[in-house]
Amino acid sequence: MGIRAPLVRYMAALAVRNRLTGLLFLFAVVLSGTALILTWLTPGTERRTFYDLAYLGLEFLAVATPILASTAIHVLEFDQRTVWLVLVRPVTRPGYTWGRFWGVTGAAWVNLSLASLLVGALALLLRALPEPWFVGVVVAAFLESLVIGALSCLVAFVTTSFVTALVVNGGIVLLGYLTPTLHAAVARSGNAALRLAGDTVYWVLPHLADFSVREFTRPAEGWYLTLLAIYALAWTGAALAAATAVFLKREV
Amino acid sequence: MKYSYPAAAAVFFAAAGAAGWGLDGRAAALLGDAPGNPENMAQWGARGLSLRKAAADMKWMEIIQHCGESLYHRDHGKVLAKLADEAVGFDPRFTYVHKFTGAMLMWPCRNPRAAVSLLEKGIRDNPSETGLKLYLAAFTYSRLENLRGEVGMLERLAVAPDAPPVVQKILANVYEKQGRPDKAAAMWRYLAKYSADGDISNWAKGKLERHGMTVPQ
Amino acid sequence: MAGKLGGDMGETAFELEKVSKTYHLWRRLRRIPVAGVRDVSLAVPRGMIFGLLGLNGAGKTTAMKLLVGLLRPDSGTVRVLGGSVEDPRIRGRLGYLPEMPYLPQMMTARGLLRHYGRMSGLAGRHLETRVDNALATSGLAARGDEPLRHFSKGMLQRVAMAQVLLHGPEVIFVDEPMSGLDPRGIAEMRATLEALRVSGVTVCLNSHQIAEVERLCDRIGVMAGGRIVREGAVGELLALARFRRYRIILLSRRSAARRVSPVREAGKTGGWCIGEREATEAELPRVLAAERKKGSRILQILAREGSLEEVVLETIASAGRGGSAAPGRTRR
Repeated sequence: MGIRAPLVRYMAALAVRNRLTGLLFLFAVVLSGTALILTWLTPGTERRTFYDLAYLGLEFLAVATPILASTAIHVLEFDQRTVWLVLVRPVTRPGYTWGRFWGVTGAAWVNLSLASLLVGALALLLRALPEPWFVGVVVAAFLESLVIGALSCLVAFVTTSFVTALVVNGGIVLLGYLTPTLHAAVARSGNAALRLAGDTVYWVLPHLADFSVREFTRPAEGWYLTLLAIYALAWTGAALAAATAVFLKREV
Repeated sequence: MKYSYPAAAAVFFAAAGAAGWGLDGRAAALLGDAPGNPENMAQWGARGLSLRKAAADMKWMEIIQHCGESLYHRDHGKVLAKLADEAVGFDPRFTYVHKFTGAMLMWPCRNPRAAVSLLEKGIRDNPSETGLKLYLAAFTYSRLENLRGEVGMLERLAVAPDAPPVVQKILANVYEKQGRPDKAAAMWRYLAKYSADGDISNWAKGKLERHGMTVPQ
Repeated sequence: MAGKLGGDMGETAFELEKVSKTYHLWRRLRRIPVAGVRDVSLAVPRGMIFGLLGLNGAGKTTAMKLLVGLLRPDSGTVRVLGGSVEDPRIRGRLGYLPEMPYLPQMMTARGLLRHYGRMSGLAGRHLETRVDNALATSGLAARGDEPLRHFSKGMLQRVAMAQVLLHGPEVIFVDEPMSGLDPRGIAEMRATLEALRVSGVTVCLNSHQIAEVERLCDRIGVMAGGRIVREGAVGELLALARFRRYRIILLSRRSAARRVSPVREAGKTGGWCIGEREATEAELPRVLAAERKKGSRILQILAREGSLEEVVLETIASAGRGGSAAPGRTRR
C-alpha cells in the first residue's frame, strides 16, 4: 500500500497537467458564462436557463474529463512507453491500476469541484439560490466520473492505441446514455433477436442516464442518491477488477 | 491473500445489476417523459442523450426570438404553435412555455384553437399544475367574449409568481379596451418599473408617455 | 543464504535459465509467432559490467525486458539478485534505462525525480537529498525546476540515468545508453558506468557500439537469432586463436600489385611497390602461396588479435551458417 499513494500522485500530476484537462475546464467556464448571458435572453425563465446549461456543463465534465485524461495518459504510457519506468519499480500491477484510476478520476474531481464552485458563485450573483437540485446534480456528477474513470482504465488496458481507446470510450458513453431509450424502443418490437440484443446491451452497459438527475422533474431523493452511489461503486469495482485482471496479463 | 480479479469483477457486476434494477424504475418516474414513444428523431435523441431540458431551452429561445419579430402574429401563430409543440415535446414539464405561448396565441395571434390545444396538452402532462387550468379558463372566457370573466382570470394569472410578463401586458390591454384607464395605467407603471422583459417595459413606458403620464424611474 | 529483503544474497546478480519468449504478430488475420529469445541461459556475477551484443532483432532488448520484469517468459526461469523479478522488493533493488527513454515533458526534472523516488519507496528528507544529489551529479542542478520539454537530448538522457540511480540500485540494466549522445555525453556515460562498477553495482549493458563495450565490459554475451551464441570475458574472446589476424608486408611488382586488389600500396620504388594485406589463420597458407606465385617477396608477417567487432561479426555470421565454434565458449 505504501507505493499506491505516490502512484496516485504521479498519475494525478499527469492527468491534471495535460492541456486537454485544462481545455475542458475552460470549456465548462465558457458554458457557465454562456448560461449567465442566456439568462438575459430568456426573461421569465432565467433561473431555469442558467441551471440547465450549468448542470449540463457539470455532467459533461464528469464524462469528458476522465476519458480525455485517460487518453492523454494512454499516449504517454503505451505509445511513449513511460509505463516501463513505473513498472520496473516496486509497483504491482493492481497498484498501478489503482493509481491510474485515482489519477484520472482525481483530475475529473478537481475540474468538477472548481466548476461547481463557479456555478454556485454565478448562482449567487443571479440570486438564484437556494437551488434544490444542486447537491444532487453535483453528487451524481462525482459518482458518474468514478464509473467513467474506471471504465476508461479498463478500455486503456484492453486497446492498443489511444485512438481506439477514445472511440471505444465514446461508444460506451453514448450507448450508456441511450440504453434505456433503446431498450424501450426494442421492447415493443416483434423481432425476438432485436429484443434479445436490446436486453443484452441494457444489462451489460452502465445506465448513465440514471446519473442525469438534472433532468428529473423534482430533486432526487436521498435514497435515490444512496442507491446511485451503490450502483456507481459497484460498476467502479467491476471495471477496476476487470482492468486489473487484464493488466496482469498484458505485456508492455 | 490472492484475489481472483475476474471473480471480483463478476460479483461487482451482479451488484451493479441489482442496484441498477432499483434505480431505473425510479429514474423513469422522476424523468416524467410524456407517455408513449417520442414523436420524432429529435425527441428520441434528446431523451436518449439526457438533453430534454437543454433541447427545450433551445426551442424556448427560438420562441422568444420569433416573438421579438414585429410580424410574428401575421400567420396567426402557426410558426409559434409549432415551436411551442416542439419545446414541450422535449420537456412536457416546461409549463412556462404553455403559459407564455398559450397567451401569445390566444391574444396577439388570435388563434384560440392552437392556444387551447397547447394548454390541454400541458394539463394532460401536468395534471397537478393548477396554473394551466386557470389559463384555459381565461381562454374560454375570452372565446365566449365574457370580458368580466376574462379579466377576473387574467388578474389571477398576472399576480402569480411565474406569470409571463406578456400576461400582464395583455391584462393592461384588456383594461384599456374595457375603458378602465386607471387600472391600465397602474399596470403600465408596474410593467415599466418591474417587468423582467425589456421590450414590455419599454412598451409600458411608451404607453405612459403617449397618455402624458409620469414614467417611473 | 537468504537476504532480509527477499532473495538469496549469493554472488549472482542475475540469471536466465533456459528462457524462451515468443511474440505473436497479427498479419492479415493470421497470428505469426516471432521468436524473441530461445532457450537462453546466462548467469552473471555481481560487481561487473556485462555487455549484450548483437545485431538488430537478435533478442537483446527482449532479454533485458525479461530481466526487469516487463515481459514474462514462456518457459524457463528469470532470477535477479537471487529472487523472482515479479517480487516488487526485488524490483526495488534494480534500475532500468530503456533505449530512447521518454519522460513526461510537462514535468520538471526535480518533480519527475521526486515522483520516481517516491515510487521506489523514498520519502521525506531522504528523498529530497537523493534528488538534489542526483541533479548535482547529472550537472542539472541549475535546471532542475525547468520543464523537461526545454531539455536537449543529452540532458534528457542524464535525467533518465538519474532516475535509474536515484534509489541506489544493486543491479542496473541499460539499453543503448550512448545512443544519440555527443562525444562528451558518451564520455560522461562511460565514466558513470565505470564509477558504478567501482562501487559494486552490477551493470548489464546492451549496445551496438562495440568499441565502447570493449572498453567498458568485463564479460560479454553475443546474441543472434534469439540465442546467446558466445559468452565470455572480453580478453578471453580476443585471445581465441581463430580470431587472430595476420598482417603480411610484401614487396610486389606494381602491375601485379594493381591486379591483386587486397594489396594496399604502402610505398613505391621503381617497378616495385611495398604492400600489405590481411589474412586469418585459416587463410594464411593460401595467401602466402598465391603471393609467391605472383613473384611477391614476403618481407614480414605480423600477428595481431582480432578486434571485438571482428569476433562478434564472425560469431554472428557463423551462428547464421550453423557453424561450430570454439569449444567451451559457445552457446547453441
